[in-house]
Amino acid sequence: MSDPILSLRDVKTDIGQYHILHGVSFDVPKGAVTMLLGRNGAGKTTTLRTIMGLWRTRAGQITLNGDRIDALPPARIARQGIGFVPEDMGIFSDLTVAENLRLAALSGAPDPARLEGIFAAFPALRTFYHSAAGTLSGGQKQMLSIARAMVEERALYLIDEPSKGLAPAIVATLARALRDLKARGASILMVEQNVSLARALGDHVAVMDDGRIVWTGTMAALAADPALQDRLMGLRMDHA
Amino acid sequence: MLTLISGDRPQSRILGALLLLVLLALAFAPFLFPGSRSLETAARICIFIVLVASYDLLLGYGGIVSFAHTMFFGMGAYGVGIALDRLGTGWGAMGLGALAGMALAGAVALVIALLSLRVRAIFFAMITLAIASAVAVLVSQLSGLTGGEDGMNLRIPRELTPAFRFEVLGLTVTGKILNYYLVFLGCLALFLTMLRLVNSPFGRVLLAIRENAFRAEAIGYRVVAYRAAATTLSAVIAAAAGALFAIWLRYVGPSTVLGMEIMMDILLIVVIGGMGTMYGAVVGTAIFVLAQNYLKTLMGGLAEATSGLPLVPDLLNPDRWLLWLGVLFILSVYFFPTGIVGRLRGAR
Repeated sequence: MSDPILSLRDVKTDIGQYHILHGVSFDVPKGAVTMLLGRNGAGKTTTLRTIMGLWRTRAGQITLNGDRIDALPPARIARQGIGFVPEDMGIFSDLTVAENLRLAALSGAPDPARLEGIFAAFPALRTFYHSAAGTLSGGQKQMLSIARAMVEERALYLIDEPSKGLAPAIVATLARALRDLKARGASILMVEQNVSLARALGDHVAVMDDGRIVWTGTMAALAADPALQDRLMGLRMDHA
Repeated sequence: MLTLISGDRPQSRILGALLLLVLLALAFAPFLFPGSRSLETAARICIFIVLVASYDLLLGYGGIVSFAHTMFFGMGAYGVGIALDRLGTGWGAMGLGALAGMALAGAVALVIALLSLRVRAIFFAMITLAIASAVAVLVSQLSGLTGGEDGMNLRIPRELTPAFRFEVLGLTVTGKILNYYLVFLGCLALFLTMLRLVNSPFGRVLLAIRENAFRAEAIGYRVVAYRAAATTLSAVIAAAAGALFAIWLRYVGPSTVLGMEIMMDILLIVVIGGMGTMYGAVVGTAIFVLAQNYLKTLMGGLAEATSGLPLVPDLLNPDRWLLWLGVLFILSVYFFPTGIVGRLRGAR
Protein backbone atom coordinates (compact mmCIF):
# COMPACT_ATOMS: atom_id res chain seq x y z
CA MET A 1 0.00 0.00 0.00
CA SER A 2 1.36 3.47 -0.91
CA ASP A 3 1.69 6.26 1.67
CA PRO A 4 -1.67 7.13 3.15
CA ILE A 5 -3.12 10.51 2.28
CA LEU A 6 -5.63 10.23 5.14
CA SER A 7 -5.29 8.39 8.42
CA LEU A 8 -7.82 7.88 11.18
CA ARG A 9 -6.55 6.67 14.54
CA ASP A 10 -8.97 5.57 17.26
CA VAL A 11 -11.54 8.20 16.25
CA LYS A 12 -14.55 8.43 18.54
CA THR A 13 -17.58 10.56 17.66
CA ASP A 14 -20.76 11.23 19.59
CA ILE A 15 -23.97 12.64 18.17
CA GLY A 16 -25.86 14.12 21.07
CA GLN A 17 -25.89 11.50 23.81
CA TYR A 18 -25.23 8.61 21.40
CA HIS A 19 -21.74 7.14 20.87
CA ILE A 20 -21.61 6.47 17.12
CA LEU A 21 -17.94 5.85 16.33
CA HIS A 22 -16.13 3.71 18.91
CA GLY A 23 -12.50 4.09 17.86
CA VAL A 24 -12.26 4.03 14.07
CA SER A 25 -8.79 3.45 12.61
CA PHE A 26 -7.88 3.01 8.95
CA ASP A 27 -5.75 4.54 6.18
CA VAL A 28 -6.72 5.89 2.77
CA PRO A 29 -3.83 5.35 0.32
CA LYS A 30 -2.81 8.02 -2.21
CA GLY A 31 -3.96 7.66 -5.81
CA ALA A 32 -6.40 4.83 -5.12
CA VAL A 33 -10.09 4.30 -4.39
CA THR A 34 -10.91 3.09 -0.90
CA MET A 35 -14.42 1.78 -0.33
CA LEU A 36 -15.98 2.16 3.08
CA LEU A 37 -18.51 -0.64 3.26
CA GLY A 38 -20.85 -1.98 5.89
CA ARG A 39 -24.46 -2.53 6.89
CA ASN A 40 -26.89 0.38 7.33
CA GLY A 41 -26.19 2.24 10.55
CA ALA A 42 -22.60 0.99 10.78
CA GLY A 43 -21.26 4.58 10.97
CA LYS A 44 -20.01 5.10 7.40
CA THR A 45 -21.66 8.48 6.80
CA THR A 46 -20.72 9.63 10.32
CA THR A 47 -17.10 8.74 9.52
CA LEU A 48 -17.12 10.92 6.38
CA ARG A 49 -18.83 13.78 8.22
CA THR A 50 -16.32 13.48 11.06
CA ILE A 51 -13.43 13.71 8.59
CA MET A 52 -15.04 16.88 7.19
CA GLY A 53 -15.39 18.33 10.70
CA LEU A 54 -19.19 18.43 10.47
CA TRP A 55 -19.25 16.21 13.56
CA ARG A 56 -16.48 16.89 16.08
CA THR A 57 -14.35 14.00 17.35
CA ARG A 58 -14.49 13.17 21.06
CA ALA A 59 -11.13 11.43 20.86
CA GLY A 60 -8.60 10.21 18.32
CA GLN A 61 -6.66 11.77 15.46
CA ILE A 62 -7.34 12.46 11.81
CA THR A 63 -4.39 13.44 9.62
CA LEU A 64 -4.33 14.59 6.02
CA ASN A 65 -0.89 14.26 4.41
CA GLY A 66 0.54 13.96 7.91
CA ASP A 67 -1.12 17.13 9.29
CA ARG A 68 -3.82 16.88 11.94
CA ILE A 69 -7.16 18.19 10.77
CA ASP A 70 -9.51 16.92 13.48
CA ALA A 71 -9.49 20.25 15.38
CA LEU A 72 -10.03 22.42 12.29
CA PRO A 73 -13.39 23.96 11.31
CA PRO A 74 -15.06 22.38 8.23
CA ALA A 75 -14.25 25.33 5.95
CA ARG A 76 -10.52 25.01 6.69
CA ILE A 77 -10.65 21.24 6.20
CA ALA A 78 -12.29 21.81 2.79
CA ARG A 79 -9.58 24.33 1.93
CA GLN A 80 -6.89 21.74 2.76
CA GLY A 81 -8.06 20.10 -0.47
CA ILE A 82 -10.91 17.77 0.41
CA GLY A 83 -13.83 17.65 -2.02
CA PHE A 84 -16.95 16.38 -0.25
CA VAL A 85 -19.95 14.89 -2.03
CA PRO A 86 -22.54 14.38 0.73
CA GLU A 87 -25.25 11.74 0.78
CA ASP A 88 -28.01 14.35 0.27
CA MET A 89 -26.04 15.81 -2.71
CA GLY A 90 -25.64 19.14 -0.91
CA ILE A 91 -26.33 21.37 -3.89
CA PHE A 92 -27.71 24.89 -3.49
CA SER A 93 -31.17 24.80 -5.07
CA ASP A 94 -31.63 28.59 -5.25
CA LEU A 95 -28.42 29.07 -7.22
CA THR A 96 -27.86 28.14 -10.86
CA VAL A 97 -25.68 25.22 -11.98
CA ALA A 98 -23.04 27.78 -13.01
CA GLU A 99 -23.14 29.47 -9.61
CA ASN A 100 -22.91 26.12 -7.80
CA LEU A 101 -19.78 25.27 -9.77
CA ARG A 102 -18.30 28.74 -9.31
CA LEU A 103 -18.81 28.52 -5.55
CA ALA A 104 -16.93 25.23 -5.43
CA ALA A 105 -13.94 26.68 -7.28
CA LEU A 106 -12.29 28.14 -4.18
CA SER A 107 -9.30 29.58 -6.01
CA GLY A 108 -11.42 31.71 -8.36
CA ALA A 109 -13.37 31.07 -11.54
CA PRO A 110 -13.47 27.43 -12.73
CA ASP A 111 -10.73 26.45 -15.16
CA PRO A 112 -12.35 26.32 -18.67
CA ALA A 113 -10.55 23.10 -19.62
CA ARG A 114 -11.73 21.43 -16.42
CA LEU A 115 -15.23 22.70 -17.04
CA GLU A 116 -15.14 21.15 -20.52
CA GLY A 117 -14.11 17.84 -18.92
CA ILE A 118 -17.09 18.07 -16.57
CA PHE A 119 -19.46 18.82 -19.47
CA ALA A 120 -18.03 15.86 -21.40
CA ALA A 121 -18.76 13.58 -18.42
CA PHE A 122 -22.13 15.14 -17.62
CA PRO A 123 -23.62 16.76 -20.78
CA ALA A 124 -26.84 17.63 -18.90
CA LEU A 125 -24.91 20.18 -16.84
CA ARG A 126 -24.01 22.10 -20.01
CA THR A 127 -27.67 22.09 -21.10
CA PHE A 128 -28.90 23.39 -17.74
CA TYR A 129 -25.85 25.54 -16.97
CA HIS A 130 -27.90 28.68 -16.30
CA SER A 131 -30.92 26.95 -14.72
CA ALA A 132 -31.62 26.92 -11.00
CA ALA A 133 -30.12 23.77 -9.51
CA GLY A 134 -33.40 23.12 -7.68
CA THR A 135 -35.10 22.43 -11.03
CA LEU A 136 -32.74 19.54 -11.94
CA SER A 137 -33.76 15.90 -11.69
CA GLY A 138 -32.33 13.71 -8.91
CA GLY A 139 -29.69 12.24 -11.20
CA GLN A 140 -28.67 15.63 -12.54
CA LYS A 141 -28.38 16.95 -8.97
CA GLN A 142 -26.03 14.07 -8.14
CA MET A 143 -24.00 14.87 -11.28
CA LEU A 144 -23.77 18.48 -10.14
CA SER A 145 -22.73 17.39 -6.67
CA ILE A 146 -19.87 15.29 -8.06
CA ALA A 147 -18.98 17.96 -10.63
CA ARG A 148 -18.68 20.47 -7.82
CA ALA A 149 -16.04 18.33 -6.15
CA MET A 150 -14.29 17.83 -9.52
CA VAL A 151 -14.24 21.50 -10.50
CA GLU A 152 -10.81 21.83 -8.89
CA GLU A 153 -7.97 19.40 -8.28
CA ARG A 154 -8.48 17.98 -4.77
CA ALA A 155 -6.05 16.09 -2.59
CA LEU A 156 -8.86 13.75 -1.57
CA TYR A 157 -12.46 13.15 -2.57
CA LEU A 158 -15.00 11.99 0.02
CA ILE A 159 -18.05 10.61 -1.78
CA ASP A 160 -21.07 9.37 0.12
CA GLU A 161 -23.35 6.91 -1.70
CA PRO A 162 -23.34 8.56 -5.15
CA SER A 163 -25.67 5.95 -6.69
CA LYS A 164 -28.35 6.08 -3.97
CA GLY A 165 -31.86 6.14 -5.43
CA LEU A 166 -30.73 6.71 -9.02
CA ALA A 167 -31.84 4.97 -12.21
CA PRO A 168 -29.35 2.44 -13.70
CA ALA A 169 -28.63 4.67 -16.72
CA ILE A 170 -27.66 7.55 -14.44
CA VAL A 171 -25.55 5.23 -12.26
CA ALA A 172 -23.67 4.15 -15.40
CA THR A 173 -22.93 7.81 -16.26
CA LEU A 174 -21.71 8.46 -12.72
CA ALA A 175 -19.60 5.30 -12.76
CA ARG A 176 -17.90 6.43 -15.99
CA ALA A 177 -17.11 9.84 -14.49
CA LEU A 178 -15.74 8.26 -11.30
CA ARG A 179 -13.64 5.81 -13.33
CA ASP A 180 -12.15 8.77 -15.24
CA LEU A 181 -11.41 10.52 -11.95
CA LYS A 182 -9.69 7.37 -10.68
CA ALA A 183 -7.72 7.04 -13.91
CA ARG A 184 -6.36 10.56 -13.36
CA GLY A 185 -4.80 9.33 -10.10
CA ALA A 186 -7.27 10.84 -7.66
CA SER A 187 -7.41 9.66 -4.05
CA ILE A 188 -10.98 8.73 -3.19
CA LEU A 189 -12.76 7.50 -0.07
CA MET A 190 -16.23 6.38 -1.04
CA VAL A 191 -19.21 4.98 0.82
CA GLU A 192 -21.29 2.85 -1.54
CA GLN A 193 -24.11 0.36 -1.03
CA ASN A 194 -24.22 -0.62 -4.71
CA VAL A 195 -21.88 -3.61 -4.50
CA SER A 196 -21.21 -3.95 -8.23
CA LEU A 197 -20.21 -0.27 -8.44
CA ALA A 198 -18.06 -0.64 -5.32
CA ARG A 199 -16.37 -3.71 -6.78
CA ALA A 200 -15.78 -2.04 -10.14
CA LEU A 201 -14.18 1.08 -8.68
CA GLY A 202 -12.59 0.02 -5.40
CA ASP A 203 -8.92 -0.82 -4.89
CA HIS A 204 -9.01 -1.05 -1.12
CA VAL A 205 -11.78 -1.75 1.34
CA ALA A 206 -12.51 -0.88 4.94
CA VAL A 207 -15.55 -2.62 6.36
CA MET A 208 -17.42 -1.07 9.30
CA ASP A 209 -19.79 -2.55 11.81
CA ASP A 210 -21.28 -0.90 14.88
CA GLY A 211 -19.00 2.14 14.71
CA ARG A 212 -15.76 0.16 14.29
CA ILE A 213 -13.57 -0.98 11.43
CA VAL A 214 -13.86 -4.75 11.38
CA TRP A 215 -11.78 -5.56 8.31
CA THR A 216 -9.38 -3.82 5.92
CA GLY A 217 -7.76 -5.23 2.81
CA THR A 218 -7.87 -5.14 -0.95
CA MET A 219 -11.04 -5.32 -2.99
CA ALA A 220 -9.59 -8.30 -4.84
CA ALA A 221 -9.18 -10.21 -1.56
CA LEU A 222 -12.71 -9.42 -0.43
CA ALA A 223 -14.23 -10.20 -3.85
CA ALA A 224 -12.49 -13.58 -3.90
CA ASP A 225 -13.83 -14.68 -0.51
CA PRO A 226 -17.64 -15.15 -0.43
CA ALA A 227 -17.55 -16.44 3.14
CA LEU A 228 -15.78 -13.27 4.28
CA GLN A 229 -18.32 -11.12 2.41
CA ASP A 230 -21.15 -12.97 4.07
CA ARG A 231 -19.60 -12.62 7.53
CA LEU A 232 -18.72 -8.93 7.18
CA MET A 233 -21.69 -7.58 5.26
CA GLY A 234 -24.30 -10.31 5.18
CA LEU A 235 -24.21 -10.61 1.38
CA ARG A 236 -22.31 -12.13 -1.52
CA MET A 237 -20.77 -9.69 -4.01
CA ASP A 238 -21.32 -11.96 -7.02
CA HIS A 239 -25.04 -12.20 -6.17
CA ALA A 240 -25.57 -8.49 -5.58
CA MET B 1 -26.80 50.44 -17.65
CA LEU B 2 -26.99 46.67 -17.27
CA THR B 3 -23.40 46.60 -16.01
CA LEU B 4 -24.30 49.37 -13.57
CA ILE B 5 -27.04 47.20 -12.09
CA SER B 6 -24.79 44.14 -12.13
CA GLY B 7 -26.67 42.30 -14.86
CA ASP B 8 -29.53 41.69 -12.42
CA ARG B 9 -32.45 42.12 -14.81
CA PRO B 10 -35.96 42.66 -13.43
CA GLN B 11 -37.01 39.44 -15.30
CA SER B 12 -40.57 40.71 -15.69
CA ARG B 13 -41.93 43.44 -17.94
CA ILE B 14 -44.36 44.67 -15.30
CA LEU B 15 -41.59 44.80 -12.70
CA GLY B 16 -39.28 46.57 -15.15
CA ALA B 17 -41.99 49.15 -15.87
CA LEU B 18 -42.69 49.64 -12.14
CA LEU B 19 -39.00 50.15 -11.37
CA LEU B 20 -38.62 52.63 -14.21
CA LEU B 21 -41.72 54.49 -13.03
CA VAL B 22 -40.39 54.75 -9.46
CA LEU B 23 -36.94 55.83 -10.71
CA LEU B 24 -38.34 58.55 -13.00
CA ALA B 25 -40.85 59.74 -10.40
CA LEU B 26 -38.12 60.07 -7.77
CA ALA B 27 -35.60 61.62 -10.18
CA PHE B 28 -38.00 64.39 -11.22
CA ALA B 29 -40.14 64.57 -8.06
CA PRO B 30 -39.42 68.27 -7.29
CA PHE B 31 -40.69 69.27 -10.73
CA LEU B 32 -43.41 66.65 -11.27
CA PHE B 33 -45.05 66.93 -7.85
CA PRO B 34 -44.67 70.43 -6.48
CA GLY B 35 -45.41 71.01 -2.83
CA SER B 36 -43.54 70.17 0.32
CA ARG B 37 -45.67 67.14 1.24
CA SER B 38 -44.94 65.30 -1.99
CA LEU B 39 -41.23 66.16 -1.72
CA GLU B 40 -41.23 64.85 1.87
CA THR B 41 -42.85 61.64 0.62
CA ALA B 42 -40.33 61.27 -2.23
CA ALA B 43 -37.35 61.78 0.10
CA ARG B 44 -38.79 59.31 2.60
CA ILE B 45 -39.21 56.75 -0.21
CA CYS B 46 -35.55 57.23 -1.28
CA ILE B 47 -34.25 56.78 2.27
CA PHE B 48 -36.49 53.84 3.12
CA ILE B 49 -35.54 52.04 -0.10
CA VAL B 50 -31.92 52.04 1.12
CA LEU B 51 -32.89 51.20 4.70
CA VAL B 52 -35.13 48.31 3.63
CA ALA B 53 -32.63 47.04 1.01
CA SER B 54 -29.86 47.06 3.63
CA TYR B 55 -32.13 45.04 5.93
CA ASP B 56 -32.89 42.66 3.06
CA LEU B 57 -29.13 42.14 2.66
CA LEU B 58 -29.29 40.68 6.18
CA LEU B 59 -32.62 38.89 6.16
CA GLY B 60 -33.21 38.03 2.52
CA TYR B 61 -29.63 37.23 1.53
CA GLY B 62 -28.01 36.26 4.83
CA GLY B 63 -31.02 34.65 6.53
CA ILE B 64 -30.25 36.70 9.68
CA VAL B 65 -33.06 38.24 11.74
CA SER B 66 -32.04 41.47 13.44
CA PHE B 67 -34.05 43.93 15.51
CA ALA B 68 -31.25 46.47 15.72
CA HIS B 69 -31.47 47.88 12.22
CA THR B 70 -33.04 51.13 13.38
CA MET B 71 -30.26 51.41 15.96
CA PHE B 72 -27.71 51.52 13.14
CA PHE B 73 -29.97 53.91 11.21
CA GLY B 74 -30.03 56.08 14.34
CA MET B 75 -26.24 55.96 14.73
CA GLY B 76 -25.84 57.58 11.31
CA ALA B 77 -28.51 60.18 12.08
CA TYR B 78 -27.14 61.02 15.53
CA GLY B 79 -23.60 61.06 14.12
CA VAL B 80 -24.62 63.94 11.82
CA GLY B 81 -26.71 65.59 14.56
CA ILE B 82 -24.00 65.56 17.21
CA ALA B 83 -21.28 66.63 14.76
CA LEU B 84 -23.35 69.60 13.53
CA ASP B 85 -24.17 70.51 17.12
CA ARG B 86 -20.59 70.27 18.42
CA LEU B 87 -18.45 71.16 15.42
CA GLY B 88 -20.64 73.89 13.92
CA THR B 89 -22.65 74.20 10.72
CA GLY B 90 -20.58 73.10 7.78
CA TRP B 91 -20.08 70.46 5.11
CA GLY B 92 -17.00 69.14 6.88
CA ALA B 93 -18.83 68.60 10.19
CA MET B 94 -21.75 66.98 8.35
CA GLY B 95 -19.47 64.60 6.43
CA LEU B 96 -17.40 63.81 9.50
CA GLY B 97 -20.56 63.09 11.53
CA ALA B 98 -21.89 60.79 8.83
CA LEU B 99 -18.59 58.90 8.58
CA ALA B 100 -18.30 58.62 12.37
CA GLY B 101 -21.87 57.28 12.60
CA MET B 102 -21.17 54.74 9.85
CA ALA B 103 -17.89 53.66 11.48
CA LEU B 104 -19.57 53.26 14.89
CA ALA B 105 -22.44 51.29 13.35
CA GLY B 106 -19.99 49.02 11.53
CA ALA B 107 -17.90 48.43 14.65
CA VAL B 108 -20.92 47.69 16.88
CA ALA B 109 -22.43 45.38 14.25
CA LEU B 110 -19.14 43.49 13.88
CA VAL B 111 -18.81 42.98 17.64
CA ILE B 112 -22.44 41.81 17.98
CA ALA B 113 -22.03 39.49 14.99
CA LEU B 114 -18.79 37.91 16.20
CA LEU B 115 -20.19 37.40 19.68
CA SER B 116 -23.60 36.04 18.74
CA LEU B 117 -23.53 34.57 15.23
CA ARG B 118 -21.19 31.79 16.34
CA VAL B 119 -24.04 30.17 18.19
CA ARG B 120 -27.46 30.21 16.57
CA ALA B 121 -29.21 32.85 14.50
CA ILE B 122 -32.00 33.14 17.10
CA PHE B 123 -29.46 34.41 19.67
CA PHE B 124 -28.46 37.12 17.26
CA ALA B 125 -32.10 38.25 17.00
CA MET B 126 -32.47 38.28 20.80
CA ILE B 127 -29.19 40.09 21.40
CA THR B 128 -29.98 42.74 18.78
CA LEU B 129 -33.38 43.32 20.39
CA ALA B 130 -31.79 43.79 23.82
CA ILE B 131 -29.01 46.08 22.55
CA ALA B 132 -31.40 48.19 20.44
CA SER B 133 -33.66 48.71 23.48
CA ALA B 134 -30.67 49.61 25.66
CA VAL B 135 -29.37 52.12 23.09
CA ALA B 136 -32.83 53.73 22.76
CA VAL B 137 -32.94 54.21 26.56
CA LEU B 138 -29.37 55.53 26.56
CA VAL B 139 -30.17 58.07 23.84
CA SER B 140 -33.11 59.45 25.80
CA GLN B 141 -31.02 59.54 29.02
CA LEU B 142 -28.00 61.30 27.53
CA SER B 143 -30.00 64.45 26.83
CA GLY B 144 -26.93 66.71 27.06
CA LEU B 145 -25.45 64.97 24.03
CA THR B 146 -28.48 63.75 22.11
CA GLY B 147 -31.27 66.15 23.09
CA GLY B 148 -33.06 63.31 24.92
CA GLU B 149 -36.69 62.63 24.01
CA ASP B 150 -36.98 66.08 22.35
CA GLY B 151 -34.24 65.27 19.89
CA MET B 152 -32.10 67.88 18.15
CA ASN B 153 -32.90 70.50 15.54
CA LEU B 154 -29.99 70.64 13.15
CA ARG B 155 -28.39 73.62 11.48
CA ILE B 156 -27.25 72.28 8.13
CA PRO B 157 -25.26 74.26 5.52
CA ARG B 158 -27.37 77.10 4.10
CA GLU B 159 -27.08 75.73 0.54
CA LEU B 160 -29.39 72.87 1.61
CA THR B 161 -32.10 74.99 3.22
CA PRO B 162 -35.23 76.60 1.65
CA ALA B 163 -33.69 80.05 2.27
CA PHE B 164 -31.07 79.41 -0.42
CA ARG B 165 -32.35 80.16 -3.93
CA PHE B 166 -30.86 80.42 -7.40
CA GLU B 167 -32.04 80.38 -11.02
CA VAL B 168 -31.27 77.71 -13.62
CA LEU B 169 -32.72 78.06 -17.13
CA GLY B 170 -35.44 80.31 -15.80
CA LEU B 171 -36.36 77.86 -13.03
CA THR B 172 -36.06 78.85 -9.39
CA VAL B 173 -34.20 76.15 -7.52
CA THR B 174 -34.17 76.21 -3.73
CA GLY B 175 -31.74 74.67 -1.26
CA LYS B 176 -34.53 72.26 -0.32
CA ILE B 177 -34.40 70.85 -3.86
CA LEU B 178 -30.61 70.61 -3.63
CA ASN B 179 -31.07 68.77 -0.33
CA TYR B 180 -33.53 66.42 -2.05
CA TYR B 181 -31.02 65.65 -4.82
CA LEU B 182 -28.32 65.01 -2.21
CA VAL B 183 -30.68 62.44 -0.68
CA PHE B 184 -31.74 61.01 -4.07
CA LEU B 185 -28.22 60.65 -5.49
CA GLY B 186 -26.84 59.37 -2.18
CA CYS B 187 -29.57 56.75 -1.99
CA LEU B 188 -29.16 55.81 -5.66
CA ALA B 189 -25.41 55.27 -5.14
CA LEU B 190 -26.02 53.19 -2.00
CA PHE B 191 -28.71 51.10 -3.71
CA LEU B 192 -26.53 50.40 -6.76
CA THR B 193 -23.68 49.43 -4.43
CA MET B 194 -25.93 46.90 -2.70
CA LEU B 195 -27.22 45.59 -6.02
CA ARG B 196 -23.65 45.01 -7.13
CA LEU B 197 -22.80 43.41 -3.81
CA VAL B 198 -25.61 40.86 -3.89
CA ASN B 199 -24.78 39.92 -7.48
CA SER B 200 -21.09 39.46 -6.70
CA PRO B 201 -19.50 36.16 -5.58
CA PHE B 202 -19.94 37.46 -2.01
CA GLY B 203 -23.71 37.66 -2.56
CA ARG B 204 -23.80 34.13 -4.01
CA VAL B 205 -22.00 32.78 -0.94
CA LEU B 206 -24.54 34.56 1.28
CA LEU B 207 -27.38 32.90 -0.65
CA ALA B 208 -25.65 29.53 -0.27
CA ILE B 209 -25.28 30.10 3.48
CA ARG B 210 -28.94 31.14 3.75
CA GLU B 211 -29.97 27.90 2.06
CA ASN B 212 -27.72 25.62 4.08
CA ALA B 213 -24.93 26.88 6.31
CA PHE B 214 -23.45 23.39 6.86
CA ARG B 215 -23.12 22.78 3.12
CA ALA B 216 -21.49 26.15 2.58
CA GLU B 217 -19.04 25.42 5.40
CA ALA B 218 -18.31 21.95 3.95
CA ILE B 219 -17.25 23.40 0.60
CA GLY B 220 -14.88 25.86 2.24
CA TYR B 221 -16.71 29.03 3.29
CA ARG B 222 -16.39 30.42 6.83
CA VAL B 223 -20.05 30.99 7.60
CA VAL B 224 -19.40 33.21 10.63
CA ALA B 225 -17.03 35.44 8.65
CA TYR B 226 -19.51 35.90 5.81
CA ARG B 227 -22.42 36.53 8.15
CA ALA B 228 -20.37 39.03 10.15
CA ALA B 229 -19.37 40.82 6.93
CA ALA B 230 -23.01 40.99 5.78
CA THR B 231 -24.10 42.31 9.19
CA THR B 232 -21.38 44.95 9.18
CA LEU B 233 -22.06 46.11 5.62
CA SER B 234 -25.77 46.22 6.27
CA ALA B 235 -25.24 48.33 9.42
CA VAL B 236 -22.88 50.76 7.65
CA ILE B 237 -25.37 51.27 4.81
CA ALA B 238 -28.27 51.73 7.27
CA ALA B 239 -26.19 54.35 9.09
CA ALA B 240 -25.53 56.16 5.79
CA ALA B 241 -29.29 56.21 5.17
CA GLY B 242 -29.77 57.57 8.72
CA ALA B 243 -27.26 60.35 8.05
CA LEU B 244 -29.14 61.36 4.89
CA PHE B 245 -32.45 61.24 6.80
CA ALA B 246 -31.12 63.60 9.49
CA ILE B 247 -29.80 66.02 6.85
CA TRP B 248 -33.13 65.94 5.04
CA LEU B 249 -35.31 66.41 8.13
CA ARG B 250 -32.86 68.84 9.78
CA TYR B 251 -33.91 67.04 12.93
CA VAL B 252 -32.97 63.88 14.75
CA GLY B 253 -34.96 62.34 17.59
CA PRO B 254 -35.66 58.89 19.07
CA SER B 255 -39.12 58.56 17.52
CA THR B 256 -37.93 59.41 13.98
CA VAL B 257 -34.94 57.08 13.81
CA LEU B 258 -34.91 54.64 16.72
CA GLY B 259 -38.58 53.71 17.18
CA MET B 260 -39.68 50.06 17.13
CA GLU B 261 -42.50 51.16 14.75
CA ILE B 262 -39.85 51.92 12.12
CA MET B 263 -38.37 48.44 12.65
CA MET B 264 -41.84 46.94 12.12
CA ASP B 265 -42.33 49.05 8.97
CA ILE B 266 -39.01 47.74 7.61
CA LEU B 267 -40.04 44.13 8.26
CA LEU B 268 -43.45 44.69 6.62
CA ILE B 269 -41.90 46.31 3.55
CA VAL B 270 -39.37 43.48 3.12
CA VAL B 271 -42.20 40.93 3.24
CA ILE B 272 -44.48 42.94 0.92
CA GLY B 273 -41.72 43.64 -1.62
CA GLY B 274 -40.18 40.16 -1.53
CA MET B 275 -37.26 38.86 0.49
CA GLY B 276 -33.94 38.30 -1.22
CA THR B 277 -34.72 40.70 -4.06
CA MET B 278 -33.23 44.17 -3.90
CA TYR B 279 -35.97 45.34 -6.26
CA GLY B 280 -38.52 44.26 -3.67
CA ALA B 281 -37.26 47.08 -1.45
CA VAL B 282 -38.02 49.60 -4.23
CA VAL B 283 -41.55 48.38 -5.01
CA GLY B 284 -42.46 47.60 -1.39
CA THR B 285 -41.24 50.95 -0.07
CA ALA B 286 -42.97 52.95 -2.79
CA ILE B 287 -46.30 51.24 -2.10
CA PHE B 288 -45.96 51.31 1.69
CA VAL B 289 -44.85 54.95 2.04
CA LEU B 290 -47.47 56.14 -0.45
CA ALA B 291 -50.14 54.22 1.48
CA GLN B 292 -48.85 55.66 4.78
CA ASN B 293 -48.98 59.19 3.42
CA TYR B 294 -51.99 59.21 1.14
CA LEU B 295 -54.32 56.42 2.30
CA LYS B 296 -55.85 58.77 4.88
CA THR B 297 -56.53 61.42 2.21
CA LEU B 298 -57.92 58.83 -0.20
CA MET B 299 -60.22 57.41 2.45
CA GLY B 300 -61.45 60.90 3.35
CA GLY B 301 -62.43 61.46 -0.29
CA LEU B 302 -64.10 58.03 -0.55
CA ALA B 303 -66.00 58.56 2.73
CA GLU B 304 -67.32 61.85 1.39
CA ALA B 305 -68.29 60.30 -1.95
CA THR B 306 -70.21 57.50 -0.23
CA SER B 307 -71.81 59.68 2.45
CA GLY B 308 -75.31 58.69 1.26
CA LEU B 309 -74.72 54.99 1.88
CA PRO B 310 -75.21 53.22 5.19
CA LEU B 311 -72.13 51.90 7.09
CA VAL B 312 -69.64 52.48 4.21
CA PRO B 313 -68.64 56.06 5.19
CA ASP B 314 -67.99 54.83 8.74
CA LEU B 315 -65.75 52.06 7.45
CA LEU B 316 -63.91 54.53 5.22
CA ASN B 317 -63.49 57.10 7.96
CA PRO B 318 -59.92 58.48 7.63
CA ASP B 319 -59.31 57.69 11.31
CA ARG B 320 -59.45 54.00 10.38
CA TRP B 321 -56.58 54.23 7.89
CA LEU B 322 -54.35 51.96 9.97
CA LEU B 323 -57.01 49.24 9.89
CA TRP B 324 -57.08 49.37 6.09
CA LEU B 325 -53.29 49.43 5.91
CA GLY B 326 -53.39 46.22 7.98
CA VAL B 327 -55.98 44.71 5.63
CA LEU B 328 -53.79 45.64 2.64
CA PHE B 329 -50.83 43.93 4.31
CA ILE B 330 -52.79 40.72 4.99
CA LEU B 331 -54.07 40.69 1.39
CA SER B 332 -50.58 41.23 -0.01
CA VAL B 333 -49.16 38.36 2.09
CA TYR B 334 -52.08 36.13 0.98
CA PHE B 335 -51.85 36.92 -2.72
CA PHE B 336 -48.07 37.45 -2.90
CA PRO B 337 -46.51 34.96 -0.46
CA THR B 338 -43.11 35.46 -2.12
CA GLY B 339 -43.60 39.22 -2.16
CA ILE B 340 -44.66 41.39 -5.07
CA VAL B 341 -41.34 41.00 -6.88
CA GLY B 342 -41.25 37.24 -6.30
CA ARG B 343 -44.76 36.94 -7.73
CA LEU B 344 -44.04 39.15 -10.74
CA ARG B 345 -40.84 37.26 -11.54
CA GLY B 346 -42.59 33.92 -11.11
CA ALA B 347 -45.40 34.88 -13.47
CA ARG B 348 -43.15 36.10 -16.30
